[in-house]
Parts: sequence; C-alpha cells; structure tokens
Amino acid sequence: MNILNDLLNGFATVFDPTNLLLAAIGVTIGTLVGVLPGIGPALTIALLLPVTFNFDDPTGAFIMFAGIYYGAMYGGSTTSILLNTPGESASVATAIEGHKMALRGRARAALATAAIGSFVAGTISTLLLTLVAKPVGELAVKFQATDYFALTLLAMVSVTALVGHSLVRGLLSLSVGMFIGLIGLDSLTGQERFTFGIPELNDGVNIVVVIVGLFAIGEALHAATTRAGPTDVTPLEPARGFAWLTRQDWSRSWRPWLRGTAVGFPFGALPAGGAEIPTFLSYTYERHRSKHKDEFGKGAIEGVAGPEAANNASFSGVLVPLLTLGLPTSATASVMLAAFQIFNLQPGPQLFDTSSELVWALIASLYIGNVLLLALNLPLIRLWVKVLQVPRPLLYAGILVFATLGVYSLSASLFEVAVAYGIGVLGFFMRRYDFPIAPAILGVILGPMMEEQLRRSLVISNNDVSVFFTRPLTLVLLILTVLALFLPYLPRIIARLRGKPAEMDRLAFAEED
Amino acid sequence: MAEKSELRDQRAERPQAGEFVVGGVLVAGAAFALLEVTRINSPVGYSPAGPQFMPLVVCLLWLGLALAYLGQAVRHRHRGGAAVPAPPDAPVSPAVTPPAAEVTSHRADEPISPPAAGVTSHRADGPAGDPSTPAVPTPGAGGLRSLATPALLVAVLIGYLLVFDLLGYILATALAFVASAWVLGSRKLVRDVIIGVVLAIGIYYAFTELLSIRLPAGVFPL
Repeated sequence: MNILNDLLNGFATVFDPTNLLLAAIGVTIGTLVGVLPGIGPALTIALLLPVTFNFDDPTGAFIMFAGIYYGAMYGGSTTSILLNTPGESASVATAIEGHKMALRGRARAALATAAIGSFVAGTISTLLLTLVAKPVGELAVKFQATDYFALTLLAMVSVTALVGHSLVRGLLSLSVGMFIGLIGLDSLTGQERFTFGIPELNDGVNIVVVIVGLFAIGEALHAATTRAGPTDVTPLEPARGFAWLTRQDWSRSWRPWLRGTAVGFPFGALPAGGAEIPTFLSYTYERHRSKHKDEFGKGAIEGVAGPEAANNASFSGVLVPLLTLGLPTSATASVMLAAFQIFNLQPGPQLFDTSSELVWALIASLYIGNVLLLALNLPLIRLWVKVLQVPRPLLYAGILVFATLGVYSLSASLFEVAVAYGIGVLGFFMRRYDFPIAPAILGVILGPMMEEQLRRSLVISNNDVSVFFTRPLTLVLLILTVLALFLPYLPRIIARLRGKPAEMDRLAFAEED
Repeated sequence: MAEKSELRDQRAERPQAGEFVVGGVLVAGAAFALLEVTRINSPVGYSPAGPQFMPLVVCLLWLGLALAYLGQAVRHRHRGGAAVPAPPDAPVSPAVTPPAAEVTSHRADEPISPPAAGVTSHRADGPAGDPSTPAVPTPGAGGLRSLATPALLVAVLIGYLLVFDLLGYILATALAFVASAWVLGSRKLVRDVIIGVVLAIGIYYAFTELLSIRLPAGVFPL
C-alpha cells in the first residue's frame, strides 16, 4: 500500500516534537480566536498568517494551520451553543438546537456531542481524504486548460448561487471581487490594469488584505452600528463527573454523527464546496427522521450532532479540490491557498509529487489535530467561557489592532493597510445591505485563475472558441454552471408544481465563512 | 422578482431607502471601471486572448447587475410606499437620502484609492486617540444615525495610519485601541488604557524579537 506508506511518513513528520508542539499551539490559538463571537476559521487563519512568515519549513506552518482551522471550528460551535452567535455560517445549524439545549441546562451534553461528533467526523473524513486525494490528483493531470476554465467558473457561480438571499446581490459581490482580482499588472502581457497610476497597485491586491478587510474590519465597523449590551453567556450546569453524555445521548447521537459525515464530505469535495449546505441538509434530515420530533426547536441533541459532524467532515472534503486541483471553494480554502503561495507552493496535481512530504504531513496533522482538540476542548471549557465574556468594545478594538498588524506584517506597507481599511468600508456596506461576502472573496482569487485558463486555452487553440464546446468534460462543466444558477429556485419550482406555497429560505444559506 | 421583494420586507431591519443610493453608487462605479477598461493598453484589442477582454466582461457584468439592483430598489420603493407602510424605520427613512448619499460617496472611490478618497475626512482630524470625543448617539436607531459610530471608527483608523510611523507601533496602537474601544461604547478608560498598553507592548516584542518582523519603533528608543 503506497498511500499507507506515505501516510505513515506523514505521521513520522508530525510526531517530531517541534511539529507536535506547533499543532498543539495551533489548536489552542485556533480555539481561543474561534470562540470569539463573529470570528470564523477563514479570518482566524488570515489573522494568524503573519505568525508563520518566518518559518523556514512550510511543513510546520501547515501543521499549525490545520490545528488553527480545527480549533476555530470547535470554538465556533462553543460560541453557537453558549451564546447563540455563530461565528460562521456553518455553525448556524448547530446554534438552532444547541443554544436551546444550553437554555434547558444541557449545555454540557450539547458541547460534548458537538466535540465528539466533530472528532468522529474528522477522523472518518480525513481517512476518506487520504484515500481519495491521490487518485483525484492523478485524474486531474489529464485536465486541460479548458476544463480548468470551466471548473473555476463552476466553482464561482455555484457558490454565488447557493449563498445569500438574492442572486443579483450575490453576482454583484462576485463581479466586484473579480474586479479587485484584476487590479495590477497583467500576468501575460505586463499591461497595467485598473492601477490608476498607483505603482503600489502593480502587484495587485493581496488576498489576505481582502479577507482581513472584508471580514475583520467590515465586521468591526458593522458591530459599531449595533452596540451590544452585556453578553449573555448561558451558564454551564454543574459538572457531573466525567459523564458529559448519558447513555441515551450516545444512542441518539451516533447515527446523526455518521449521517452528517456522509453528507459533509462529498459536499465539501464538490466545486460548490463549503459547509453551509451539508450542515443545513443534515439538520433538515435529522429533523424529519427523528423519533423525537417534538423536541426539535426546544433543544434536540440530534440537531447538534448531525450538523456539527457535517461541518467538520466538509472541511476534509474541501481539501480535495484544493490540494488536487488548486481550486479553493470556500473563503477558508482561499486563505489556505494564499498560505501555499506565500511558501511558493502551487497546489494542484503536481503537489503530491513535488511536495509529497508536506501534503502527507498536513493530512496526518489533521488526525492529530482532532485528537488534541478532543483532549483540549472539553476539559478547558471554563476557559473558553471566560473568553466569551470579553466585553464587545474591547473585543472589536482588539480585532482592529490585530487586523492592522496582520496586513502590515505582509510587507510593512501602510498603503496596504489603507487598502484593507477601504475594503473594510466596502465590507461594512455589504453587510448592511445584505450582500454575501464569500462570492467576493472567491471572485478575487478565482477570477484571475479563470482568466489565465481562458487565455491559455485560446492561445493553444489559435483563438478558436469552439474548444469550449467540443471537449465533453468542459461542456459538461459549463452546463452544470448554468444549472447551478437555477438550483436555488428548485424547491420553489417544485413547491409551485405541487401547488403548495413556497417556503422561502430553504436553499438560501447564510454565509460569512 | 415578487418573491424577492417579499423576502426583503421580512428583513425589515435592512435600511431600505439606502438601497437606492447603493444602487446608484454601484452603477457609477461600474461606469467608471468601464472607462478604465478603455485605457488598458492591449496590442490585440478586445480579443478574448488579450488583457482587455476579461476586464470588459467583468465590468459589463457589474454594470448590468448594478442596473438590475437599482431597478429592484426603485420598484421595491414604490411597493414599499404603497403596500407596506414601512414599519420599523418609518421615522428615519424620509430623512435618510441626502446624508446617506454623502456617506456612500466615498465608497465609490474606495476600492480605488481609499485614503486619498478621504473616508469621512470631515471627522478625521482627531488623530488616533482623542478620547474626549463626545458620546456617540445611540445606534440601533437605524438610518443615518447608525452610521455615525462606524464613521467615527473609520476616523480612528485613519488617525492610526497617520501616526503609525511617527509615534511608533506601541504608542499608536495603544492609542488606537483605547480610542476604538471608546467609540464602540466602553467607558472604563483606565482599564482600556492598561489593556491597550500591555497589548501593544506584548505584540511589539513578540513580533520584533520572536518573529523578527519589523515594526516601527517611533518616539520610544526601545
């Protein structure tokens, strides 16, 4: 077994004491930052990116990122359950039942089913990633420029169509993001585009600047309009020894965990990736199938177990297109891609050959991260509750300070900080007028990739546009792109056909990864 | 389309009059970007393989969508005036339009040259820490008033930028922290100052000593 060998080598790398320490630090910082209300994994990684700039060895940095990501995700579920303010859209489903459980004095059970469910899902889905990644990578070698073009287009369009409440607003976000992505010197001809004569813009706008601006600064400005009162952290009920879950809790949780994993991984791996859709699918499914239907809406444990597992499993899924095709399908994956680029690594089919050690160490560190989290998160719960009680003004003031620091340390340029502030103002208005953020991020990072593949295809074909319609794979992907635009309307269309009044928010998913 | 407007009515907390302004700004921005497209130097013109093609596509898409958004806003406003008696923000909405235009106007320039565009420059004169800033009107009132706090916060950030190199990282950061906490509603000045100073010093040493990332030392010869 070749894969097994590679994976064991990966474990050997991770079990190096330094790397193990980095994983533990990553998990702790990730949870610490992820617990803060309003901060999701994408922003956590973006803010912590500068910490790893001086690493000589990218392996250590990525081991830490894996820890940060998992930590941020666990932290997010803690916030959802105790505070009912999900830090990211993927935790929204968890918050629905989780917070109700906490109000009923079952906070520990909710936290435990979330943590153990994430652990189960994380372990299974990492295993799946191990098995799937290399074959997909080998398949991806056969992809041509036209396929990549269609795939990038599909990823952008499907995420835009599935996220947020309005297609027009989503596509507007996407086009403004693509505009920002076009700023700078054209990579093929060296012509200035949208630089407005400012030399600092020749290199384009760094994706970290965009993410920190849209998420951190935009969020802080938005928080300023809704001055929150004292934070209402639901108190934990007193501990009853180590028995966080009763026998009944276990028996009601394990099936949702597995079902959540089964939904989460494939959805994450699709080009329309991200965790929003699988978490809501899992929630809806558990709600329909539960023997305790009456408990839903009042704190049903299945409604926490399923979505949390789906959330965790989808991340390993998202890594499939990211590692094998170099295609990020969520805001978090975009930041991971930016991290790869900082270390001069290009994810894609070649990554498994050129940096095989790094990839397998990353995958191995996902396993380790899972174990560390289970060991850290539940016992330290009192600490995380303390973090939740940080007063909001201090929290957002701190976010602004760290956002500035993160951008400044990219290249010690105050101009970039100013751009980040400007993009933050943009993010503020996007939040205020309900424009989804994720399409803008994907536009910035995928827009230039799409353009490059388009032009490469045309150069190869001598400007013959028909290449996009004669290659079957490309054609299929393009047709899927068109279909994706109509997908959000599907439930409504079906409901119409059945003569029922349309249920609105079904396929509109909240965002802000 | 009709369903969308219904949905929007449900989310009544979203300021409605401002949509009109946002649409206008988006259209103006797209038109400006299109103008910039014509300035791109392309040896092959608008050929799909050249550097001008994708900008053109993106900007046309942007313009078309901005017009659609504006159309929705106009239609929605008519509907809102007639059918829905504009429930929660009724007292605010008539007064919103003119000043909201002023606020959004810097947003138009903002993807291009944020600092030059002078985001809320009318308030930016109090650099970084000016904790004597008068208490902010209660936000949540909706409409324009709720823009005062974010505008002040942007002013603090611009001040932070201006004094960043001059005062050095520690002093500038401590001031910016205290000022933003104040703007965001904290009134425990002593606590904020202590936290701000400790935070700034901690970051400074962690970054310069441990991570060897240079931060401006400024006035303190530390």
